Amino acid sequence: MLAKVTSFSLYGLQGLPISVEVDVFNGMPSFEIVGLADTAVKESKERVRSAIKNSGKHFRNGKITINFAPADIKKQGAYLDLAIAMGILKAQGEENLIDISDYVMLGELSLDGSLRGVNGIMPILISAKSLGYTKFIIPKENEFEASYISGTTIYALNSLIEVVDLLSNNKQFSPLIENEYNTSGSEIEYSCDLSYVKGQAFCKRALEVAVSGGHNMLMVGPPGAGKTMIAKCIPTIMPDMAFTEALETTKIHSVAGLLNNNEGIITKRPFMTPHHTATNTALIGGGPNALPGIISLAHNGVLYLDEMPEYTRSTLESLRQPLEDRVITVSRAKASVQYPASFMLCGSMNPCPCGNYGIKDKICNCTMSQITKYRAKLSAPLLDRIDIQVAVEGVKYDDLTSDSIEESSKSVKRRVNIARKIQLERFKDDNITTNAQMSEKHLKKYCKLSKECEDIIKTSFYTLNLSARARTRIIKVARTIADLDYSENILPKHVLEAIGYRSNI
Amino acid sequence: MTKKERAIIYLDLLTHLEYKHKRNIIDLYEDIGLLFENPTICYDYLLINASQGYAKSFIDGVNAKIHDKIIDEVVNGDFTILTEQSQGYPKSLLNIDFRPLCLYCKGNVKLLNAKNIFSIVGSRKTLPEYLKHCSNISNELSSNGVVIVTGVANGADKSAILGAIDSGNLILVLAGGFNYINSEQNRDLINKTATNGLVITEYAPSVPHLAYHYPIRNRIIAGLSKGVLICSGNYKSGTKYTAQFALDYNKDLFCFPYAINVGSGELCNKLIKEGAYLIESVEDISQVCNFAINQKQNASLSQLEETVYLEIKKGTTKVESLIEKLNLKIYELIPILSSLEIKGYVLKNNSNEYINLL
Repeated sequence: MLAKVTSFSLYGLQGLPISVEVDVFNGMPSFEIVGLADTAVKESKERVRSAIKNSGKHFRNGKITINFAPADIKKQGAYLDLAIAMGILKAQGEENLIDISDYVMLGELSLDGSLRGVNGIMPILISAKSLGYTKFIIPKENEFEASYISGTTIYALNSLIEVVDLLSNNKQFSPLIENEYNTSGSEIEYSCDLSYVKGQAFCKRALEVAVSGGHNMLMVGPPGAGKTMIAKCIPTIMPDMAFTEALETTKIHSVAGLLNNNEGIITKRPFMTPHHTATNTALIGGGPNALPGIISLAHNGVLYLDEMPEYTRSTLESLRQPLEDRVITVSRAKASVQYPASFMLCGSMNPCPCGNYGIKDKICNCTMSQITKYRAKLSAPLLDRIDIQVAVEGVKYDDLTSDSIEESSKSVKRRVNIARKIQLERFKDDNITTNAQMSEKHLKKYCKLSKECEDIIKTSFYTLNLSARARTRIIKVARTIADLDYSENILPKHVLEAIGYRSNI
Repeated sequence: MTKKERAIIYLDLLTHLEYKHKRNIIDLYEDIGLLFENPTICYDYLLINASQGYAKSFIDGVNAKIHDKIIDEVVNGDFTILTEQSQGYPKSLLNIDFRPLCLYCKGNVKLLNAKNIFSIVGSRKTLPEYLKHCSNISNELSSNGVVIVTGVANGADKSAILGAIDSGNLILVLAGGFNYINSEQNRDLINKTATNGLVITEYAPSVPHLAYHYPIRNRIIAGLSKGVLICSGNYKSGTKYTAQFALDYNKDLFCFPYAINVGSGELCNKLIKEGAYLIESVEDISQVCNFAINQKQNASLSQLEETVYLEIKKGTTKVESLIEKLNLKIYELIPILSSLEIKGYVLKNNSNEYINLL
């Protein structure tokens, strides 16, 4: 007898429906799987056999043929175990099962018949829902992740027996209750807060501007100045993630298998700090299955590169395209997948290998060629994409122990939220969201400069020796500062402040 | 081109022959122009004092008459050659020991005999505020007709170049031949100076930049000028050779003062202790050297800028302290500081400190 069950397999962030066809008939006992299955799928026959037997069900020794359709796509992962098991039980005709083809079944089986969680449930459910599937059976482990998908009937179950019970109406199970996405975000607790950072008023203000406009930022300072501490505060002042943003980020983390099962959906903006020995593949994404890299995991969050010149040149250069396009296409033998990678890049570096170059009361031991080599690691086109470049000074002991009250992240965040709202409103027809993403066209449209502002930029070019590329950066940052000031037009003071955040390396 | 000049150029092109031999050969002849007509004097000298190989290759070259070809090749290059017998050869160099036999020049050679020549040198590792002082002084002097002489290293030399390059009153002294300009890091600045200022070197085009050329080259920098400004340097830096040459040639020596324990300024403080002039502004130089400097008009300040500037002048340099003392918000203060910076009153250093420049 023939049985058909629907399941899904994952390609990048896209779920594809797989029709699992099971035929069991008399003949020499055998167990054949056809339809371009990879190793994890082929091995499932052993898991399925044991799971059925250990669940107290009969496993008929007949000729079993399993086919996956469409046959021309490679099937990966252990998503299909449950569908195969249920297909066999149905095809054996011994179970009093209702029509199981209504359900999409996902999950890996354990030898004792219990259901194990799988990676990538969220993207599969989202794709399935958009294709019109509404009824799902998934492992209990994945229930939090799945509970944010509205308008569906999802049963999160513990074992094969429970699935059989559900489908043969032996027992009543209640479907998952939909979770509301909590946008207030007030419960999110971070271990860092801007109020813990003493002094550094200049740098903090630069950070506020950078986050408000989504500008990439580079901090240059001696060792121990507090660059990392400031960077860790970035997520605390970033605006809360909207539901769509949270879903996007969760999808990527789900595919990478990094989702915490108790969390379900990612509400904190990701803050990724890859070590400087990270390979291109780790950063950009790759591997035989074209999995997402760290820049995609940092989607809607922050990618913090500590000691930036220590990264290999090719690693840094590979960031240029995603910084521009905000997506990355990972092409490998088995798949070519596009992952979103819209992150804020924050970097830190020392002024020279020993860290003391240009600091007044310290002696730098580096030779000039060492310093040039160190700085040349950051190429001009890369620095071009970093709008705000600030110096971070070393903190004096007295500042550290002083009781002066610093502004908390919460109040900074309030200003950032307003500035972001102004930008969303401005760019609603332009397919971008922040000032940093503005192209030449947008600059012309939204950043009209008065004569006075033009004059300031012009004089600053001569007196401060700025490069031609600095102009765009200054105007973009000035636009953000004007937004923070609720000003419709860019005023001279905004341009002047933006000039203060220019590069001095 | 006279016979004398051609002979000296030919001697100069014998790049492996030591300077003292060339000088002796010139002195041996009553008229060096007769070098090719009467080569035996030179041959005998080389045979005794240098080596047989030199002597042989010299006489073979002259006998085979390839010397004309070699000289023409250099003379027809895209640069001017001034020998010590030429008209335009700088008079200031005629008095110094080991004066270069030839100067290879690109650009406006008249600058070499300008009335007021002043050199600005310093180490590669110069603090940002001193770089700014350096380019300011270079700018003010050069825009008032003083010709600035310097090398082409990064750091102090480069900021002196940047200050003077637009006025065209600038002489760069290279430590290698013109064929190697493209391997220099600051080749763009060299090429620009070659069109509106002057680039000189004592080395034939085919001589590469070698480390020991740099201190030797410094004697030309010191020799050309009325006075030498040492921007920065530690006890080990090459700048000390320029200072030494300046003292030997009886030129005025000027130094920026430094705080105690600042590594990049220990040479300056030492020279000041030994009697060099302490420089705080361009007036200090113009008074000693009798340069006519027009007072530069500073841009006017708004009231708020004035208050902030006065506070910085008192010695409050940190942004945090300024916020505290003036009771301003950070976003109000930064535009004022940037404006002061653009107007040339203050300078931001690598520690987010704003330093008074005037």
